[in-house]
Formats: sequence, structure tokens, C-alpha cells
Amino acid sequence: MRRFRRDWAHRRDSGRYQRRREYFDEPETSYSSSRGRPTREEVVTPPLPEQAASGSLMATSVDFKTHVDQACRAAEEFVNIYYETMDKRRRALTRLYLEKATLIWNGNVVTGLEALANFFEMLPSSEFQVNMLDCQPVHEQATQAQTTVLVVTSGIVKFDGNKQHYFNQNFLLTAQSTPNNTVWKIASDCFRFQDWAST
Amino acid sequence: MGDKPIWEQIGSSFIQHYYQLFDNDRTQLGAIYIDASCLTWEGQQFQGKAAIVEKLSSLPFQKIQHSITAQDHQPKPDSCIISMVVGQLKADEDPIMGFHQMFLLKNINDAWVCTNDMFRLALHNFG
Repeated sequence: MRRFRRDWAHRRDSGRYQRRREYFDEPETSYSSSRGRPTREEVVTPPLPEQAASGSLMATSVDFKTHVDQACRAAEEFVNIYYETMDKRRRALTRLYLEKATLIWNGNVVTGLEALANFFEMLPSSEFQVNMLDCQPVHEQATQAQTTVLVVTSGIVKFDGNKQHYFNQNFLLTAQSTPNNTVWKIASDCFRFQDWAST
Repeated sequence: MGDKPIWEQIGSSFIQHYYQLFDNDRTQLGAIYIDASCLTWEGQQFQGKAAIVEKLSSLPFQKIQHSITAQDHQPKPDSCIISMVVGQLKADEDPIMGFHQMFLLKNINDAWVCTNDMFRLALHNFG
């Protein structure tokens, strides 16, 4: 069979998304104690460690790995909660957004919590299946020292009364740090069906 | 009929420029990245302009053509722009494939550069 995909893909991913950590070889560690699957309306992670001064190249590369690690952990946690909330507790979904967050949903712009609440209320009930997740920390240079993570997901969604679609979604998450924890919220959200042009 | 918001103009200009470069000579893409840039290409992470250009230059096809189905742009409070692109591409004589790409753009010294770039093929879509 001709491998028309050539070497585009590092490996073929299937089923539930896998964490993107092949950049460096580190054993999987669990940062949180086992706490089952709580019903949560916020995405909270342990406090972020102090960012080391990025002087030497070595310090920069250590920071990068740490940031990627933190980014991926927060992203996974976030994605789990987001889609579960979207599917099962839709009315709580706006708690995951910043007050001035913007969503572009298949080209429709929705800004601010009130508009988001109305929008999500109108959206039919959903069943999401996330197949892929990518995340990146956003370098300080781009965000003036506010910890920011970019997350890209793709998968399949079925809205009640509609046919199934492949979808892609991008989130920009920002961390609001307190001494005890870090709360992640969505600053920007962009959702599109992969095949929207043909529906 | 009003003008498009500035971030849409900048975003779509960048997108056009990016795919034009990519399709014609992707070894020239270095100019749009900086040393702090991150690329995630089909799940692999690359950091820095040099590593990114090396990866893109070494992709195993000669001809490549991108066609954009849809693009979205959003401004961020610190004057960055997030751009999301959904489209299709054709490499050499391979079948057309769907793709999805996201860029975070920042203005540095009056030039818009890409600090974060994430690309995925829509491998489940074959038609």
C-alpha cells in the first residue's frame, strides 16, 4: 500500500489524544495526587514555580522544557474539563472563560461572558470526542510575562439534530496565579468544523 | 460596508505571505520566525528559527500547494494576533489532504513575526 503520507506524521495517532512530549525524554510523572474525577467548574493546577532568570542559553533551554511540560499538563487538564463541561454541564461553561474572552465559532464572533452564555445556551447539546491535542507555551516576549498556553484540539463532534462533523479548536489559555494555585481561563477561542465548507 | 478590522488585515496578509513563501521556496521562511519561536509540526516540537527552518526545508516533497478554506483572526490585548487556518494541500502527486494550522503573531521592530506555529494534517479526511 502506498504510503502517501510519506513522513509528514511522526507517528500515527489514533483514539484518544496523546500528550506531545517526544521533544525530550522524561518519564511520565503525575503532578497531582489521585483525586478521581471531580466535577469541577474551574481548571486549577498547582502554583507555577518561579521562572528562572533567562540569562544564559542553558537557563533558556531549561526554562523551555519546564514551560512545555507545564503547558502540556495544564492543557490536558483543561481539555478534559472543557469538553466534559460542554457536553454535560453546558451552563457552567462560561466559568472557564475570562470576562472579555472572544470566541469565533465557524466564523461567528462572540465576545464577553454574557454573549457567550447566550450563545452556549442556544447551541444544541453536544457529544465531543477529542482525538488530538497539541500545546505550546507562549514565550514571555509575546505576552509580557503573563503565563499563556496555546492549545489546539481536533476530533469529532455531534450536535443534537445535526450530522457528525470533524472539528478543530484553538484555545489561548492564561494563568491567573495565586500563592496556592493557578487558575486557567480561556482568553481566546476559535472553533471550526474541518469540513464546514462542504456542509 | 466597513473595512476589515486591522488584525484581520494583518492576519490575512501574513497568511497569504506565509503560504506563498511555503509553496514557492520554504527555505525562505526563516524571516518570519525568531529565536524564541516554537513550531509543533504533526506533534513534533521545534524551537528557534534555525531548527524550524531546517525541519520545514527537509520535508519530503518538492512541489507543495496550499489552498485556504477558511481563516480566523483574533487580537490579543498585548498586540499579538492569533490566526487559525483550515485548508487543503497537495504535495507532489499525492492525493489532496486537509490541514489545520495556527499562528501567533507579534510585532517586533515594525515587522510581524510568528512566535508560535502549530500544524496538523487532517489525516482522517481523505476527500
